[in-house]
Amino acid sequence: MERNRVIIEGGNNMVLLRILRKGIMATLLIVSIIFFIWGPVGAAEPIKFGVSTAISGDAAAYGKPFLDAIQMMANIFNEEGGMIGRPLKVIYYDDKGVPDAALEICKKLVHEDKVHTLQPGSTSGCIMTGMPVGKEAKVAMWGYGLAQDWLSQGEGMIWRCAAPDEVMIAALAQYAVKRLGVRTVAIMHLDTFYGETSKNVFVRWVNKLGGKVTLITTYTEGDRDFSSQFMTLASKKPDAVYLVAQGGAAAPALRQLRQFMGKETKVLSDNNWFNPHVRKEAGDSANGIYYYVHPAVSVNPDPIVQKWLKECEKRLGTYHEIMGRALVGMAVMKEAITRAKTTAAIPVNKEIHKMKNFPTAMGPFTYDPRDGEGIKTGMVVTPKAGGDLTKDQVVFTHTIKDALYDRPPNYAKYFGKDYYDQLLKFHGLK
Amino acid sequence: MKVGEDGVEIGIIINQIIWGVLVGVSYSLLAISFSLIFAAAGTINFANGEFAMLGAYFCYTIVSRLQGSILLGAFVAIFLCFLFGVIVERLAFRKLYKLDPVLIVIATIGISTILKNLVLIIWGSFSQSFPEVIKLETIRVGSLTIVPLNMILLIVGVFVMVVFHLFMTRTRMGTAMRATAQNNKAASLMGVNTRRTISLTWALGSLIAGIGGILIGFIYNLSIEMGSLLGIKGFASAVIGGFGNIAGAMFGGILMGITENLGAFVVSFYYKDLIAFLILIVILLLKPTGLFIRGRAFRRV
Repeated sequence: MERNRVIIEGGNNMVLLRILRKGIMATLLIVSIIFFIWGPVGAAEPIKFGVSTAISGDAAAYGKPFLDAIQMMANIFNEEGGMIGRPLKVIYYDDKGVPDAALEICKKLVHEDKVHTLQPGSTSGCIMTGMPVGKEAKVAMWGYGLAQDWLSQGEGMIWRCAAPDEVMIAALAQYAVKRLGVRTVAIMHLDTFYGETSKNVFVRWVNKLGGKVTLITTYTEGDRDFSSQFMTLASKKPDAVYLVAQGGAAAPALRQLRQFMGKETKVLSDNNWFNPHVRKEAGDSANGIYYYVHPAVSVNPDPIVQKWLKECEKRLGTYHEIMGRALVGMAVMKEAITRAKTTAAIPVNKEIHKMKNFPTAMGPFTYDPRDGEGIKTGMVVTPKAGGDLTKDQVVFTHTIKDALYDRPPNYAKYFGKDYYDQLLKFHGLK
Repeated sequence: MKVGEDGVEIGIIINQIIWGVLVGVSYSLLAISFSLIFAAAGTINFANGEFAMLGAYFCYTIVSRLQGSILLGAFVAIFLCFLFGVIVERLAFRKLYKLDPVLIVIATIGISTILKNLVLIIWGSFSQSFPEVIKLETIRVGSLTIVPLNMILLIVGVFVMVVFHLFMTRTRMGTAMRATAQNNKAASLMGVNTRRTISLTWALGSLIAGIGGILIGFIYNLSIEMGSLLGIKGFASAVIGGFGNIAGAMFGGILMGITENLGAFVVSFYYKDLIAFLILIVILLLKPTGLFIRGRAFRRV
């Protein structure tokens, strides 16, 4: 009896085992089918986007929203099936806006994390120090800083995902001299690398257009009393003042400018005035000034720009102009990698160098081999309703067709001797 | 620098002096606050700049966020500053009087840090400005520029100083405060409630610093850093006038304001703060007790 029971139980186990084996086989089959269908994104090695950005410190005001937009774009691309059949992964570290930190981060991203693309730093200074690591390891790079130096020294291995200051300042100078009839301008600027560069570019364009800069004064970070500067400028009675004041200095500077130079003096300024905090603080005193911006701003009616800005609003709950640079950066990188069918730096960069009228959140991207820039449109905007940025009006849009800088990037080292000529021919510039 | 036909117009120099007096009045108020508290507690309140910052933020909240009138904002802010002075004295300093005065100095530094962080938490790190409450156009006479708002601020500042001077010299409470400052024990024997008087002195010091903060907030803007430089300038003004001397504090602030503005205009605005502190060093070298105190020793209020 006992023996029979055991045999009967053993027989049941055999049946159960058979059923189980069939179940496992079926599950494996289903899983294989799922992998076959979804396999390209789910199983392939991810394309790693290395980002050195500031998520703490002063530069975090720009670095964090920039990173948020990169991650948003990576999510969108992954939802759409990734890039060349591979998912995207964003790896980032905090450079705090400090160049030395950016250098160490770039080494880690390139040599330890083995990233396929690199955004080497949160400021132009960070990009300058981190970029050589990517160049040496031949990693496809892109940057959002606006200074000329790193792009020129990039030798075609890095590209800029934004309109440089040169383009936007040129638009402002054109508008002031040609449309507003400004003949004489005085300048008050922050005495930093940014302020100095901004002043130099503005002076060059005003002189080029036949205007005259009559007096230049500066202020130091942390100053709130600009009375001496504006009283001095007022003595020259200029038609306009070009004001480069950042952050918390902007609103008091503008108020004091109005007090000492009168409301009739035209005020020209930088894209700091598209910062909601600055505008809220300045209130109605900002009405009637003219400031430059790149095209990825909410006041730009371009439907592609509007589409991307709404996407940011929907997914991130906000839009910061710096996000526009991330949108351009990620879209162009995706297009270049897709066209090149690889993440290798040389073919990817070659695809970027050949891009013409690629639609982005900053308008069409057309690479100009003569200066290495892709976005060469700047806009002039004027506030109408105090702190309400949505009521700002675009009064002027200007695209530069000429080369911005004296010398092109030196493409020879990484792309060959004849490459520059080939690019010029390709773009119809020769 | 030439003045006249081909050189700098005299109006611009007058503008600089007016602006200097305007800013100087704020320094004076801070200097008075320093002197008062020095007299009461025998210590320097390194949180004085932050007391001023607090006054400005209280007023800003009522005017800008709660849409109150400027008068209401100012009065409520002044009252809150007064209350704050009483509370801080009661909670933080009262038990320290009998100990080493250095402990009180350290405590004021601690309070300064706490206040900055509180402002950061409540109002955020971005700077703020008062709304344009007086929409009067700037008046120009040649190169002379008269800004109505600045004139009103100047009058308010001078008025506060005059009222305070009268309070100190013409009222029983003012006399009690001066008596307590001169000799605590003797004042106590004469029937003065010295504990209450000291508490009131802290409250008044906080109130006056708050007014200074509101004025400077209107002239520049509000930020968590505003108290630092304002505090240093106020302290330097008190030293110039003679630490503990109210009239000296008033004079010191205005002298500081005019000197730094004229210096910035004549020499370079890069050296504005340098010029201001150079004056302080020169005065300290020539008259270490300050301009308004006779003899070698410091004398309290």
